[in-house]
Amino acid sequence: MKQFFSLRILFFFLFFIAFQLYTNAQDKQKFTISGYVKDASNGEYSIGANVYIKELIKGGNTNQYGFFSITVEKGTYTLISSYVGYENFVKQITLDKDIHINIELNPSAINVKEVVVTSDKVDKNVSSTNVGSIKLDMEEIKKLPAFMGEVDVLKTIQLLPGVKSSGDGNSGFYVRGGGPDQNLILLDEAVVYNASHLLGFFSVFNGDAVKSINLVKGGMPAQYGGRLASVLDISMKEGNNKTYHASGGIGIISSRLTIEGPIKKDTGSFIVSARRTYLDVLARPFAKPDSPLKNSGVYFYDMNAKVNYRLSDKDRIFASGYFGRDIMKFADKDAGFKMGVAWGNSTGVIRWNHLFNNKLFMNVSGIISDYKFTFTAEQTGFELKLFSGINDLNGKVDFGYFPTIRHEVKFGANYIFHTFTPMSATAKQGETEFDLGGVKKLRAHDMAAYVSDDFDVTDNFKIHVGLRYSYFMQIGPFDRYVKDPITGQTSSTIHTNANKKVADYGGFEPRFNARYSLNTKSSIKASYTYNLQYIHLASLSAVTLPIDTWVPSSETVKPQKGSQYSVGYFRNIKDNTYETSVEIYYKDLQNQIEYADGSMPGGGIGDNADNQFVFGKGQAYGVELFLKKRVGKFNGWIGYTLSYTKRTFPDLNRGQEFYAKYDRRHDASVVLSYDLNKKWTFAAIFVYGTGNAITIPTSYYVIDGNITYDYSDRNAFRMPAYHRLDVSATYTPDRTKHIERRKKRVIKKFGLGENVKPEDVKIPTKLFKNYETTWNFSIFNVYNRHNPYIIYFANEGSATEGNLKIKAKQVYLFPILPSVTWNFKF
Amino acid sequence: MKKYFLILATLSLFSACTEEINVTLPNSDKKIVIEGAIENGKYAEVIITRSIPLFSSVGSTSPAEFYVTDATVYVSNGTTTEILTITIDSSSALGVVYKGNTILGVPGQTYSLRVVASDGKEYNATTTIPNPVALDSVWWKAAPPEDTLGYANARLSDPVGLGNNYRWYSKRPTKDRRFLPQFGSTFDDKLIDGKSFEFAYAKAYDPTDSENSIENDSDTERFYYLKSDTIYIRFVSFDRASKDFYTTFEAALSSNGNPFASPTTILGNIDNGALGVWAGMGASYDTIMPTP
Repeated sequence: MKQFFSLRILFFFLFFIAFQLYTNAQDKQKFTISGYVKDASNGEYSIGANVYIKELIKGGNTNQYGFFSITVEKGTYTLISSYVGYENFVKQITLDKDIHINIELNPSAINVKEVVVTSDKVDKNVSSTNVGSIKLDMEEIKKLPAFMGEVDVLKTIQLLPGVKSSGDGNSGFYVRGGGPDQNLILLDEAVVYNASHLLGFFSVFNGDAVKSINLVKGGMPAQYGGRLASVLDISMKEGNNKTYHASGGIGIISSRLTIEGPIKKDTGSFIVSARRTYLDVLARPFAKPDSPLKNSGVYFYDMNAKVNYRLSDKDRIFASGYFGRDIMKFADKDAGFKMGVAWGNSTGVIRWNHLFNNKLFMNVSGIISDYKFTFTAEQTGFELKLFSGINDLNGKVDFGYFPTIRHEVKFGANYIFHTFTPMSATAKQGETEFDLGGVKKLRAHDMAAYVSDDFDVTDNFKIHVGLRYSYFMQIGPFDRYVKDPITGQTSSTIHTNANKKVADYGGFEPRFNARYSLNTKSSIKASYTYNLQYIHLASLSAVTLPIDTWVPSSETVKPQKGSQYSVGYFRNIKDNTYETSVEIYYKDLQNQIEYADGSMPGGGIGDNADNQFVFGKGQAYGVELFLKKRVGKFNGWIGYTLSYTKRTFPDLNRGQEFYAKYDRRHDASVVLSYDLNKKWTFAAIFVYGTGNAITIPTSYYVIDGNITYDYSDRNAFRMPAYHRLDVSATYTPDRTKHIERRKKRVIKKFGLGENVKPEDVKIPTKLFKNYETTWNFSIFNVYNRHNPYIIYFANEGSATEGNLKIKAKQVYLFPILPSVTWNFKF
Repeated sequence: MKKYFLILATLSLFSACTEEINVTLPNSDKKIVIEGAIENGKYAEVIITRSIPLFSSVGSTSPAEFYVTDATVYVSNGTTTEILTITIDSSSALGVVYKGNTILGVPGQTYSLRVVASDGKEYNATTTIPNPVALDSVWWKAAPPEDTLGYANARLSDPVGLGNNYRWYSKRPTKDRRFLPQFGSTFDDKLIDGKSFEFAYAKAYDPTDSENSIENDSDTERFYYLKSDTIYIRFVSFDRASKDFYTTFEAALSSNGNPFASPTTILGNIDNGALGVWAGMGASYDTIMPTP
């Protein structure tokens, strides 16, 4: 009973901490410094900024809303706040009463790539208890080669060890041997169910609207739950609350525009972003001259919007939303065939931050999240519509309590009401409607409560201890179709009435991370996390498609369970110039889901989707190596992962163990960036990954005179390895020289050369003072490697004529793709 | 059918980015393939072949490696057992067939098949012949805007009670060598139980007849039956295992060459790793006469 053992340890820790907090409260006089940290240039709150007391070498990080709170004994101290890309904030304070201070950080005037000598705390990777979690700011991401001119959040995290891309054209990503449905993707706290546009070409996150991302791949803190493998927590920018700005870019494939500004200076702001690709530009390179693609096209568009307003020193409100759609249209006039596919997410979030006092912070959020997929096809009078989706209504409350400088206590609760629309269809031939079972929605309550503490046990030893309790209940109206074992048809239907329980599950999820500092330069971290996942995405085909549907746990589908253990050694070298780490992990997965052999697409229509599932377990383990050079003109990182992920299902592969489809033995990424001078920056990315595991035919045979295939053991074959090199160059023209030239031209034009000097000429509008442009040139897949998307086999000739030949073919998506984007900002 | 459109469309988008590659396959042993059926009022017929490694062509494989002619095939109805004899039959899919001469198929009866290969391995299966369900009516109907070209239509009243499984075969006596099934010819009564409904099928093609293949057919007549055609219909009822085999088999055929297809497991009912099926068929026959 492994789980009970870890629970007992956890309860011990919680009691120990509670006792500590109680005794602390009786100690000598303590006062609290609290407040917010933000960017002095635009008012954006800094997430995860360091705030510490130099003399004590202790402090904390700002939370998701930029809030910090440090409680120490009365005294005189030097308060320092630091954040990558900014100059340090240093202030002497005399702490003889509670102080509330709002810190504004100035962006580094010097190029942040040069070595910044500070006392400490740039060694965040060594000192935090974040085991297996990585925080990236958009500024770092924007330096990397952009794919088709678009800076992409998902493409960037796939360059980190442990995070694997699902390959060209596949949406989703895999973290440490887990499936694409095991990643919790949050945009300002709203769940994003399908984070990809156009089957994975782009992600739904517009780089201009994103402030920072936090990826948790191991050691999941207790405030997150509901997925086994990872959390990708993305925070949107709030918008410049000092001045108005517009920025954007025009590229070969897509264009984007962002407008932000204050609602009331320093108090409230808004930001609106929009983006679109062009109708058939993507299809054109792939189309044969006389193909029906004249009437077809693929494109996507999305919009982000956010407003925030500080009502008082204690209260702030936010509202943010996202709306995006992918559209695929195809028409073949000759065949009388027309089809349209549309899918996408919409999210809406309203939040209220409230400070009860300088130690207790609260956030309350109300969230709607919706994902829809629709497919319509028409062929001479026959019309078919498929649709599926998931809709969440979510309310959550999260508290941060900072009792002393050694503790940061978090607790909260989360409630989601899910409505699932499993793949449903309507069809008609002329006027006749086919009975395809109608639309049967599924509903469930999904809730959790958690408490955790980040506790500095000693100066060297810090732990995160957390306990989460989650509970899930699927409710009616619901019909369970019971199958007759002989005929395989539905023999009876069990009906559950509205709001009555269909099935329920719940459990404790203990979480534990620890960091032990060997010295200021290195540390060892370890974590144990136990997770439950109640909603699932089973994928039928070898590639992920937007038709894959989410289903809830039910009487037949138990929640997925995952235990992950990880241990890592982190070391900074040469004055924090290089960060290195080695991490190993082991995961145990229970109640994994796959489709039964012989399942066919559309087989779930008019039936319970989960009647087609089979269940099994899995294991994943691996080692991740990481080396990063943070400063200097030439920087970047190298990541390498060696990993295994296997599954055992009694009903698949004759019960024998097989590799999961996304088992990737070797995965390596090299990211390099070079700042030549103020005008030019170059970047290159090289990725390598072992090919996906697939099932292929090994022999063929004849039935009814037809050739059909016999297949290998499940996932026993490897696709060719995936590797690719991308390069990019970014040119930032020198604005001042350009302005000088213009002034000289004005002087010359009006013949004022005698009397007027360039300095006397004034720039007319305030708006254009900050005008910047950059040109981005990039080449994706420089050596034109044909990385396979799909491998399939096709027959030519005929068996009876004796000239049958079976050929192996591959479809690849991206040959060498150059692109140019012009970006502007003013 | 439902995913067919999506696949077709996406395929076209990527049609220019396909190339042939070399693949090294794991070695596989040659499995035995048993395609057997027993129809009401007829003797059992079993075709036995072996599977062939993927990249070898049939031309290079001698018929001896492909056809299995040295197996012993037993069929039993619970009371009597007979050994089938090997014959040449031009009206079957592949010319070489093991045929019975004693046991006739009877609706409601269960039949077991036992094949003993020359290497001593044994393969067993059982099946039942259900009561044949006859079609209410069959007729030829023109497909607008044509008036001399059309499809074969039928009306079926499915008996109340789930568990009816059907397969449609058609044959033009002057043009087709045998009864031909086609994609989508196998269906069950999950959605039509107890209902009376009409359906239609296009012209079927014989994969073993390369002269009259789909590609060689004239553009105007492709998939159409002529007004002047005589069409025999063989409408078969069979049990669940047989239906599972033929539906998964048809799905596997349709995904042949489709890059998005996931490997379809064909669910057979013969043990010990044999491929194929042993199907009891309750057949009912109809004829569509030429339309005047």
